Amino acid sequence: MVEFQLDTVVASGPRIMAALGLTIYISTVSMLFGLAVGLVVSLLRGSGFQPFRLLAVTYISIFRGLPLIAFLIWLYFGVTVAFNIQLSPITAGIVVLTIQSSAYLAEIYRSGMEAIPHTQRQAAVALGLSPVRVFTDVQFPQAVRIALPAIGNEYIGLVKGSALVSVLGVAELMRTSQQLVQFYQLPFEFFTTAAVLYVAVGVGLGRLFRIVEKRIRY
Amino acid sequence: MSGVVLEVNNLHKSFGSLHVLRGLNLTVRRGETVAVIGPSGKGKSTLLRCINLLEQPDEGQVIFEGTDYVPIARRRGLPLRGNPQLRQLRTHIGIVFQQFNLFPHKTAVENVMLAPMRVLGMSKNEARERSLEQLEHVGLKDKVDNHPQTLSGGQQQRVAIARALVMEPRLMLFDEITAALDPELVGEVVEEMQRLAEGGMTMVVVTHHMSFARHSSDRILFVDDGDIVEEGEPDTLFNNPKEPRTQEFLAHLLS
Amino acid sequence: MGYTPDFEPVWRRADLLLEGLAMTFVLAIVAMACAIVLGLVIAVGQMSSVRVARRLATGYVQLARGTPLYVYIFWVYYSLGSATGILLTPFQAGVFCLATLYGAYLAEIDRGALQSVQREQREAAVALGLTAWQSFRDIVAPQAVRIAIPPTTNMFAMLFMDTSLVSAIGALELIRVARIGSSETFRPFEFYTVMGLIYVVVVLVVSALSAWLERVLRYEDPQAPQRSFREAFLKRVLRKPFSASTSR
Repeated sequence: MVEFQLDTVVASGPRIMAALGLTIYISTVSMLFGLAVGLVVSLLRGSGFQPFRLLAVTYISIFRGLPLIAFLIWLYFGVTVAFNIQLSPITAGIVVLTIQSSAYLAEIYRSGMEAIPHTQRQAAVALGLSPVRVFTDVQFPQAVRIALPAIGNEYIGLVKGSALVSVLGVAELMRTSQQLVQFYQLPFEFFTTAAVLYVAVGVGLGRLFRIVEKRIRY
Repeated sequence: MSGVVLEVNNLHKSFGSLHVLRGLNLTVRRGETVAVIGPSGKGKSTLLRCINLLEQPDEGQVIFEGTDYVPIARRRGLPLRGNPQLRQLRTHIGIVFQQFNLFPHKTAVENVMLAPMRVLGMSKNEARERSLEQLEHVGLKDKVDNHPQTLSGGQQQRVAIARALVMEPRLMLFDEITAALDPELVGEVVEEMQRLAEGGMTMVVVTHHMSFARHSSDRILFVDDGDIVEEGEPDTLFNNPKEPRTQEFLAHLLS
Repeated sequence: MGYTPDFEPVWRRADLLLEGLAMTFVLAIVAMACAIVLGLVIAVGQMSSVRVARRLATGYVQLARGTPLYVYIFWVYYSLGSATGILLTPFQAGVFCLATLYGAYLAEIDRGALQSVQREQREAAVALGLTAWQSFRDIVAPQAVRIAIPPTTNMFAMLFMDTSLVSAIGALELIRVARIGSSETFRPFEFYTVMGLIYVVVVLVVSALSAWLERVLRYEDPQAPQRSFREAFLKRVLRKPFSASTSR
């Protein structure tokens, strides 16, 4: 077994770090959009209007059953070509990650909402709050607290999932590692480094979320 | 000491810092029905579980038909691991639990058949025949193919009794078997115990059912704080309890 | 948007897609079989009374849960060969990676199932004179299997989705054949749409199966009306999308 060529990895440090930055950028932007879209989907799903509910459930079913890589390829190599849409690889990646995470997040919101006792809503209504106020002031803040661990996991999942955007040629951490592997012919070194970085970001985010959870506990 | 089935000497058992049994002594003769009464959580169930070595006593002797099983249990480690001698003991001692503990994936008759087949090596047909007989005795002839979840609590407990009896035990232990039942279902289960007591079965019955203790047992033990406070014939103990703690317990029950 | 989709080339090359689907199933089933065996071994290790075994099994599960599958596939396929001289085909590397990660997920399911069989059940068995092995085989295992089957089935749906990642190292499966088909016919949109639909349909059917099994395997009144698979499927798809996400 050959020695681990740490020097080469260190020499490529700046490039790897820039790629890691792009990874975090893509996953964070997708997460923020996903949180918003997911909220809309979960509201549609909880609405009293049957077609909206059906639409939301279909959305969730489809995008949770579609593998990320298949979704990326379909959008970037299929849809854009067919409908002549100009889409940069990064934008395509963010769109796909947003849609997929929103499907997961919609379910996370829902289980958060369902975990709030019914009496909370009744109490708020009894105080004379309007339905919108009941949601914004009573239900939503509680649901977020309950759902926070799952939301944190989703974010960590998005960081890992963003590696798949490499198939579109986006020079994020995975793609950059592949390029470095090709250039230096050192697969073990660079893929191990990439794996360690993904795990480290995951662990770091996990810690961060636990701190936040503690802060906002009642 | 002919006629003595079970002898428990100086039994001690602690769970952590909780000293549940404190040097308890007990002798049970063939054909005798011993009722054990007393406040909850004061060692009655632990006594039963030590008798068939589901719990390992810290100190003392549990002599069943002349053999002390405590050293055997201690030698062979964990109680649930079992070993040939303990298994032998357990085929001779039947136990019925408060929570029935029937096997949910098996029908009533399959629950009863399991031990005869696996432990006694009976053929399936023979085991089934004997099990059906037992279920008929406890009045469940028409429920033999039901799963436990489809039976009432009283019916489940009667299946559990049949499951223990099919092994033709020489000693039966009952661990508050009516405590988890709805009040209207207690009667049918107590009747089974009465039937057994009258039929000459040797039994140790931990119970809160005072009417059973009073009318169907040969002897009553009042257990509190890990030891026998007082024992005697039912009428004597109920009418003239000597110890203040017994008086208090009984007065509390009657009020 | 003057594009008219034309699915005729897809139907013409249906054989290609079917071959890819078949290969995906083979990959998923082989990986799942290995993962089930591995999962049982790890679960037993986690519950073992031997401290070292417990530590090893628990450490393995934690490591596996943190590992990103996609990077892992590349790592195994490209670097394990150069580091150790063991050359795996893409298929073998895919099975290896999926089995080792899903083994850890399944170990958690198996452990939960075994532990959810109450201690009282084992006590009742032992009190009847059964041996420890008999009580495991006749009492604990049958109940644990019933509990573990629905989540294991759901895990298969997840694993099926994750086979798509193996396409990146060149294994022949659905994505690969869709790429081949679309470059042959210049109909990427049609090929990729059908490919996506196949995934969605398979995943929904398997996860509905899991929901149905969950109902069927529960110990309920046998006289109670059983819901048909069709009803369970519709309920799952239309009202309650499947849950549990594992890896990416």
